[in-house]
Amino acid sequence: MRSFKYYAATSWEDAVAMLSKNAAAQVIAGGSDLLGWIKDDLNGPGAPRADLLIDIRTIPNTSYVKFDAAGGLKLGALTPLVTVAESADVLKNYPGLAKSALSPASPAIRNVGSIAGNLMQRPRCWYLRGKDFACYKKGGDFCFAVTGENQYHAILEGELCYIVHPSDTAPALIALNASAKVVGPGGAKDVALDKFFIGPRTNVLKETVLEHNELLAEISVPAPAANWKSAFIKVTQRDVYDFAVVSVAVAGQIEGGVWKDGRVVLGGVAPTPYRATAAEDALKGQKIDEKSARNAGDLTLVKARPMSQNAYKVDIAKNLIARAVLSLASA
Amino acid sequence: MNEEGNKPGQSPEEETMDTRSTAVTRRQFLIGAGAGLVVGAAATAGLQALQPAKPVEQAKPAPPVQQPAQPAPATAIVEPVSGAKLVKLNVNGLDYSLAIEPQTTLIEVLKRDLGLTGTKLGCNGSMCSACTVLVDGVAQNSCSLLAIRESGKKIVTVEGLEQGGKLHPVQEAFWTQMGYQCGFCTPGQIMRAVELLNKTKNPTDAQIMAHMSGNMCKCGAYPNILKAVQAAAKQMA
Amino acid sequence: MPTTSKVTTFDYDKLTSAEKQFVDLYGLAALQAGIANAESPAAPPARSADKPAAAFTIIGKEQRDLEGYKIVTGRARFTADIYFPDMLYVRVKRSPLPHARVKSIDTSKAEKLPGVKAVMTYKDIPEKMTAGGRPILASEPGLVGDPIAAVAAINETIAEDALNLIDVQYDQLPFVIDAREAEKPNAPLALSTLKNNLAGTPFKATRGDVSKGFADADLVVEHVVDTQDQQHVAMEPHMAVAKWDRDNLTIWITSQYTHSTAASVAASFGLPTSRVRVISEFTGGGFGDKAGIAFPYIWLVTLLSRKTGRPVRYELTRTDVFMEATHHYPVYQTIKLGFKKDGTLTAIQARSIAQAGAYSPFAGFLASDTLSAARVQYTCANISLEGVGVITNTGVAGARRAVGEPSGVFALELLMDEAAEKLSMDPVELRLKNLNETGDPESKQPWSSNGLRESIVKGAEAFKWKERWKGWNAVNSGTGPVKRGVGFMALASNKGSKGPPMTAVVEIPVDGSVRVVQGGAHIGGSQRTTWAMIVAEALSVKLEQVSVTPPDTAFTSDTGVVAGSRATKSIGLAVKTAAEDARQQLLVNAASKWSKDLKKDVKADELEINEGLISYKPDASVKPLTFAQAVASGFVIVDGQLEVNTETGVVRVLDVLQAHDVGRVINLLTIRSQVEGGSMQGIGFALTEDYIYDKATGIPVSANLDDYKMLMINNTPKITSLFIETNDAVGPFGAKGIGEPALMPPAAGIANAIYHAAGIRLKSLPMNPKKVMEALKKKA
Ligand SMILES: Cc1cc2nc3c(=O)[nH]c(=O)nc-3n(C[C@H](O)[C@H](O)[C@H](O)COP(=O)(O)OP(=O)(O)OC[C@H]3O[C@@H](n4cnc5c(N)ncnc54)[C@H](O)[C@@H]3O)c2cc1C
Ligand code: SF4
Ligand code: FES
Ligand code: FES
Repeated sequence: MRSFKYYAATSWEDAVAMLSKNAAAQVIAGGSDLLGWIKDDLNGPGAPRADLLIDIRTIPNTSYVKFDAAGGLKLGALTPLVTVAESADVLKNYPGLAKSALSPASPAIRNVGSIAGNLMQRPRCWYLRGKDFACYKKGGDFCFAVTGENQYHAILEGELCYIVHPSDTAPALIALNASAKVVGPGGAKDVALDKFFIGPRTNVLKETVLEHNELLAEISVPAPAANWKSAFIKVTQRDVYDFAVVSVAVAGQIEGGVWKDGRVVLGGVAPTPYRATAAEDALKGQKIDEKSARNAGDLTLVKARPMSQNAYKVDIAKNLIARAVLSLASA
Repeated sequence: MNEEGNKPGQSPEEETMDTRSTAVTRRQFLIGAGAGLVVGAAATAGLQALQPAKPVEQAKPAPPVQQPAQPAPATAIVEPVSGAKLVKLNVNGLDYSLAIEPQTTLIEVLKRDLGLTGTKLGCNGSMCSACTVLVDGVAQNSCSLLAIRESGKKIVTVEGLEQGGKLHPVQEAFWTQMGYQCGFCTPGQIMRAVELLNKTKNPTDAQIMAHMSGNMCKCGAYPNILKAVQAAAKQMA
Repeated sequence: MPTTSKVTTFDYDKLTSAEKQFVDLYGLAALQAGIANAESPAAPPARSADKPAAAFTIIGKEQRDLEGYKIVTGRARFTADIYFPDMLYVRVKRSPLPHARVKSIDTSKAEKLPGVKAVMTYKDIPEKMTAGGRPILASEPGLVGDPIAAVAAINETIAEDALNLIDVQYDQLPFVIDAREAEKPNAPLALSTLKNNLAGTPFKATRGDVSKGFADADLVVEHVVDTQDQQHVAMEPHMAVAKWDRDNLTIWITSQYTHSTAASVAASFGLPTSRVRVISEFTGGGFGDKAGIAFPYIWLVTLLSRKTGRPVRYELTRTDVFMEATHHYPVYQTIKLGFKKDGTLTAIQARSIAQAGAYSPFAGFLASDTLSAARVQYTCANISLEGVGVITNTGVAGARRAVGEPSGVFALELLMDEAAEKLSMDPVELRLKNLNETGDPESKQPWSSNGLRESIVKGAEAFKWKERWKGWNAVNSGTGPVKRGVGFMALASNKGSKGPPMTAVVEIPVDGSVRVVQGGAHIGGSQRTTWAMIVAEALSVKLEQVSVTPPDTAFTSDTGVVAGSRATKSIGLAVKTAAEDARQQLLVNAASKWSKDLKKDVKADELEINEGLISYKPDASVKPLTFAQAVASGFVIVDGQLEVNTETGVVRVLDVLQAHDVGRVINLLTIRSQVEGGSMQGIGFALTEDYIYDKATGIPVSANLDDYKMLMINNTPKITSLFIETNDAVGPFGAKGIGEPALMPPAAGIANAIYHAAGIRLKSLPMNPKKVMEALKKKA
């Protein structure tokens, strides 16, 4: 690996201050994504070289899962994915989230990778990760995916850049109406995860609203209401080391087999986790059956604009929404 | 956590980022494959801004003094180099104090500096787990851990399993069931299996497969790996 | 009317040494075996010692690996475990362009970086020095990833930092990625030294009259099939450490064939082979990619070590490996079969385009090997086969376990299945009906053992084929989104007939222990254990008494291992050794072939075995025979069951049965594990592994273990191996090889089972969710 410098932060404020002073600094949590990025020696305005790593794992009390029936769930930013996935509280109250935290990468990566890192990880577009492609997202002047190998790219909301957001936990958390505690130079604020991710139209050089000197300190999930159920399904080729071809997270309040309220969020299809509002609206007040579930899937994908090699994802996404919705009814 | 490892080593200088790209840009390829086209594919990249201090040669430091874990103010210190920090590691029961540069990974320390070559590097990118070691009992990819961040931790490598000339049950089982072909992924597989069996008695086949699922074996010795873990589980139950 | 055959032959003597090595290693010459003696069939080969399996005390049993202790404790020393205190580490700057000319390189900044000890570019490479025809550092890179500049520094970080200080300017040249494009007359030249992109003369094989065959047919089936680019991805990345001690050179390298590296490096540096010592104690997988092939990195460490006077180590990164190592090449095939109503094959026509990549010295052979199954597997009076190898600006093609056969047999067996359906026949019956049970149709060499019919019948029985298949109207009959199906394929391979290395010396020191000195690598088949077992069995000694040396060219030449006469002398004490017995069989066989070829009486004792080649001592001009030429084929069938999720396109293989004619089982533990490993690699070939190039830039995009998808333990189906022991005429104790045949069957078996499950025929590998969903959509 090429050289860089290291700083062990002692508090969120300390880390924020250090970031503010150093344009070429990045924070390191588990490092499972960031070190790969450094080893690949990527470079560009959208892929800044980290010449200084600020360790946030050294900040005390940042790894925890806290639950209470009234206040809901709090996840410390540095909590490893495995801890989230195996937490009895999460398994019981948010099965969709538990499953999504068990899906990324491999057991070893889930041992080290943090929940915040999973949300903040950079996209996996193979052109972005290739040192030799100066694409839009790196600050270049072209999207190689448009004319190139785009079988895993976006079918919805691509524009300029056609990445798909890589995180498995993001759709699950958004489906559960989670929010993020963001710390920055001006203190802390809460941002709904639904508004946390931004598409290339807003800023092609990054994927979230966070500024260089802002950090994700905690994730909160509201307490589950009565009859609230959640599920997560991910399609991959080999289960391990496999980003989603398509994933779907659903969370809904189901009463007497009827969908009262809820969210449907797709992963692997758009530059951000994709809130399938068309499906949500169509399901509201409907009895969940094969027909209404299929309809939810079909309506969502009406807007799909597949690229040259990824039309197959449209069918998978439709089917997956239907499966996930049906699974809530039977759960 | 260990105080040594957590405090800032030296105040990092502020640096300007050179963002000139070494990458291929659109123009070359859009203009197409015409012969004789002159393009600058690779410009000098952004290191000029850095003024690396003269490194001290330490490819293989003098063997660190090994001491029993207790009692042990570890004394062997490799001469510090620029950017390096003093890191204490307990590896297979021995304490080491080492001067380690920020970018040095744990596997580099184990293999190159400590001579513990049993751990294997397959991808250097968290994509194969050939480099698995136990860090405070948790199986980790040693290629993707910065050694500087592991100060104060207890590391166990495949060399640390055999006790008093007796193989660990997982080692014995991998041998007897031939849970390998070429043997390159094997130390990693074994460490992963040890992690599982330390915390789960009598795992089901599904648990074994899920737990071992990140450890790649291109020889495809998977059926025997499963058998080996099953056999070891019986021993350790 | 007499049937006439014609097969393009390669003139062995005109081949370069790299080509010869390739042909020998992979038995490709078997393909074109002796047209000269096509008139009269050779005598059936003699059987080796015909003992019933139960009569053996050591072989045929499960024997745990003698090297196991080292492996499970981390003591086994792989090349990556070699360190020296004063060692330098290498990093290489590689071409980002698929074809270009280096206009300028400025290394001055890199050289000034403290800790950098040497920087090299093409200007520093001695004139005319290449790595088996590949540039060591390129001035005209012919693929993305060609090495351009190398840095040796006191650690890898400094070497990497230095790479970023090297400024290279290129003139871009036209390039071509796809063999189908490159084949066209007006295609850009992949390398400026070429006249066209065709590698060697196209391979042609004809028999009878193919147009008449099709005219006579009641059914003609035809399809276009393509198979993908793969890298072998042995878990141990390529690497080497070079160390000069004045004019003695030692290279530690991860290798399947150290002697070959020693020979080519020695020749290149003008050294006697005795001054070049090549060591590979343990090799972390190879699958053909480490078969002594000349790679630029070997020369780089050697040159850098000479320049700096220090040991130099280059451990390639995984991406370096993808770019520099050899590839299992993509093949584009059209194949057409004609049948009578009763299932009799009347004609086979096929054309293969093999994408050879840049520089492949083997291009000429690559296409021909894909046609081997079409030529020999079934009895057919009329065939017309053509294969072309095409140079492209992509990864260099080499040999991966079974070379081109996996692609060829995939195309053939897919079409056989389709034909069986159209003929309303059980696919097993159709294979049995057309099986070639006699021998090579062109050379007329009989199979050295032939268990194909038995493999098919017993395999189908064990799998309960009839019960599970349920006839053609069971296709796509399942309800629900997840559908199950079974598939079948058969294979007669020209691979797997090579016995274990035959160049060993068996020494019996005074204490009565036995030492086997040999140059074969320890690479996954417990080769050292197998060897020891054979020797132990033959000598009636306990296995623990036998030790086997790791490959070390210095050590083995010191003991004078290679000459057959010496081997005879050494082994002579133990007259009944299996090794000698097998060796004798081999020589007798070869003698009878040469007696015919040379039209004189050649005696077995005039022959010697040297490095896997049998040569004729009295006349050095007679081209040596490989074992593969002297023996025949491995046979195999596979049945498999799987699940296709028609909503997601995900295919899950559940149950695989492979039945192999292995001649004789030596170590049950090893041979089973070889079939299992081969199955896993075969399933990866079928379903997931795909090395993808960006067509516009020629840059590979899946050159890492995340995007290049290999299977994991959780993807492992139930794998059953059935071994048919036919007592091969040539191998030791009647054994033949298994490593290569085991990889080939899954792809076609899976494709046929996918059809059975979901009613879609996939003709392009890998059969990933994308292809499955696209086919389902098309069908709907
Ligand atoms: C081979 C491989 C396969 C993978 N497959 C999947 C997959 O299938 N699904 C999936 O969801 N993920 C996958 N991942 C990603 C993996 O889940 C992430 O690498 C991991 O979750 C990141 O956590 P980390 O703590 O290691 O983050 P780091 O690598 O430390 O950080 C990642 C990024 O987030 C930033 N960051 C980290 N923490 C914070 C914070 N608190 N505030 C602000 N910024 C922060 C860092 O600066 C960095 O840019 C895969 C990764 C690998 C290497
Ligand atoms: S999809 Fe985005 S990241 Fe990928 S090449 Fe296009 S611009 Fe770059
Ligand atoms: S070498 Fe560490 S995960 Fe592959
Ligand atoms: S045994 Fe060879 S890679 Fe696993």
